[in-house]
Amino acid sequence: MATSPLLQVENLEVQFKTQDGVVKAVNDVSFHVDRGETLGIVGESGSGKSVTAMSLMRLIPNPPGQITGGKVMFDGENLLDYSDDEMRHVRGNRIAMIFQDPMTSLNPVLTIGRQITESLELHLKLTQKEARNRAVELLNMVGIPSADRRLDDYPHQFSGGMRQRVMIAMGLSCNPELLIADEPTTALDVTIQAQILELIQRLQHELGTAVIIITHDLGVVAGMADRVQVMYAGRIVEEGPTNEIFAQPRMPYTIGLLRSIPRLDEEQGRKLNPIRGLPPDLINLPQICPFSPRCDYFVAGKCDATVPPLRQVGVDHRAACLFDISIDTPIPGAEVPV
Amino acid sequence: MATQTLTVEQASEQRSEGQWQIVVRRFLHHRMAMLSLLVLVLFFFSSLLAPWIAPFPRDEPDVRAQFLAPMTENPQTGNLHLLGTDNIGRDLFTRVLYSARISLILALAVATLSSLIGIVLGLLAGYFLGWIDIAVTRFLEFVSTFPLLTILLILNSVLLQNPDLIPIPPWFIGIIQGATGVPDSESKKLALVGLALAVLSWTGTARLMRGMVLSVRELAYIESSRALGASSLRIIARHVLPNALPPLIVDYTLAINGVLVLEAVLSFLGYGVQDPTPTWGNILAIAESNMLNHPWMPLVPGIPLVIAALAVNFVGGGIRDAPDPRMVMGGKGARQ
Repeated sequence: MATSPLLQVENLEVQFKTQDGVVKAVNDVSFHVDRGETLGIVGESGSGKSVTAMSLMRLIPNPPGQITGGKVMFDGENLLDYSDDEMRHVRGNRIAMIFQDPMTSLNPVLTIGRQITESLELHLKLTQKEARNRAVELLNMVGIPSADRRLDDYPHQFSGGMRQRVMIAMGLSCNPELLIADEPTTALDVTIQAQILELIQRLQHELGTAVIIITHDLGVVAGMADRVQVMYAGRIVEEGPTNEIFAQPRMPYTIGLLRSIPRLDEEQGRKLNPIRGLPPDLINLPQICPFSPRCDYFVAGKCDATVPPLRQVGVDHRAACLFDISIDTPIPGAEVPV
Repeated sequence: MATQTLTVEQASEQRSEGQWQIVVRRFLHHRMAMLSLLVLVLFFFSSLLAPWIAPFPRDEPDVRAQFLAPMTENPQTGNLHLLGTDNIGRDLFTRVLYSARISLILALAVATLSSLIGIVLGLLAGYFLGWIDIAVTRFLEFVSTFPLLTILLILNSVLLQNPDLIPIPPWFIGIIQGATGVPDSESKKLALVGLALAVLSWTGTARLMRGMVLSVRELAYIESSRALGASSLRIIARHVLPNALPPLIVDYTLAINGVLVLEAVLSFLGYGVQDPTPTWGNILAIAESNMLNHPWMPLVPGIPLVIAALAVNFVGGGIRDAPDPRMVMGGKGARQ
């Protein structure tokens, strides 16, 4: 296997010009995805995870958005240097994307068949008949019964879970090397969620596709991802292997996230600790640790002096915190629970 | 009654109707719309046959038979005038018969042309935004401030007096001539009035289209198809246009209606299609000036005009109702 990663993002910067000022949605984000690997990106709303994904596909609406810096190296070539025409051949063909809301991601006036065959005709130059056969194959693959007949149905005749399956079939239709799933299960109920995730995983193993899964649901990431990166205020604040992140989170934000969800393996009677405060305003980001105003471990004079860089805290594990804090570090000033 | 049970196989054998079939079926079961469509078709085809079925030549005056009331005979020749004669003794039945084709074609052509201009400009503005949007919107505001009457007045005084000055290509005149069946010199003037109306009346449609496109372009499936690598042209043609179009179809039928009535209003003021080309509008205008002495006269072109306008409206209503699942419609089709 090639040693260079499939996708290498370097110092990505994305900004949106609004009436109130320039929103710095993604700041100095670098990461990589290897072939066949699953990367989870977690973070709360507005942390820049979706914008990061959209900018990989160059789908940021411009204006108001603009990629102001960095590189997106895909298979050794910088996608940001591509012309619009070249980029269209990458989209759907080599990098595909699944969106959050399957209820609105399909065109209501076209049959499912027409929509699946669209990218086949675009990229693989199949004839209508070949494309239709391939579409039947794809629907079978994502587990839609009597696929041949369902091709002539309209989106409203499908349930939410079925539509997300169709979206996955559309995403995988050209055997992309990278699949970006932007909150693929957020709009679905829990049982369907599990089925969809299982489906993505199965297809990933069968097809060897690399997957970036974007979510705010830590449970999804825990079950799916090989590696996780946590985003906050447009920055990556912690990254590492999934097991490491869950067992030994080293960034207070990640620790806060984990403390705020219930776990099966914890002692009874533990209270859930929400993270206090609100995410920072991305228009006026001071050069301090973005999480410091909400941090339990805040140290005056240190945390509000610089933006902490990502530093190595374990094997393949990096966190953007100046201090060695772990989930066992007592919160200063808080009463030690009896 | 015996309960019918279907096995799974049987049930899956029954192809469910496609969206389009449902809409067509519902439209065909819309009684008022179908009746109205029938009326319009009848008007149009009887008018097509006018050269053969009309009792008199279209423009033949007879000064000895002015203002004959309906169903009276010409005292000189003994000919029966079904709907009477006008101020210079032309047979009104003949003229109303000929004018149905001209009025309907004019309304259809003007509405089609102005809707096309409006849809294309609205689509471009709403989809591409940026400077295209600014240019289209400003142009639209500029055009909508044009006073229609003044422009028609100028056209009337300058061009209609010298039809040879009219800068309209011969093929276009040919189309007009073929569609309306009027002589060459008249079709030039007709084309001019039609073009003036179309060029000045697309602004509402463009605004509506732009608004629709603005809302449709933000929908998830547009983004999703862009993520699949579709080009702008493809996205516009396959995703934006079909989803933005439904209100425009209703707008179009209302526009046909609007032109029918507008032409009558303009004729009343003397700026519409000019005599001797007969339209319901200008027959009505002639009738209007003689109304005090011959009160039956406005009814002759007025009744078909109102019927046609209503019919177009009902057809538009049918088209609007057919795709709307909340509408309960009469007839068998509604109960399924």
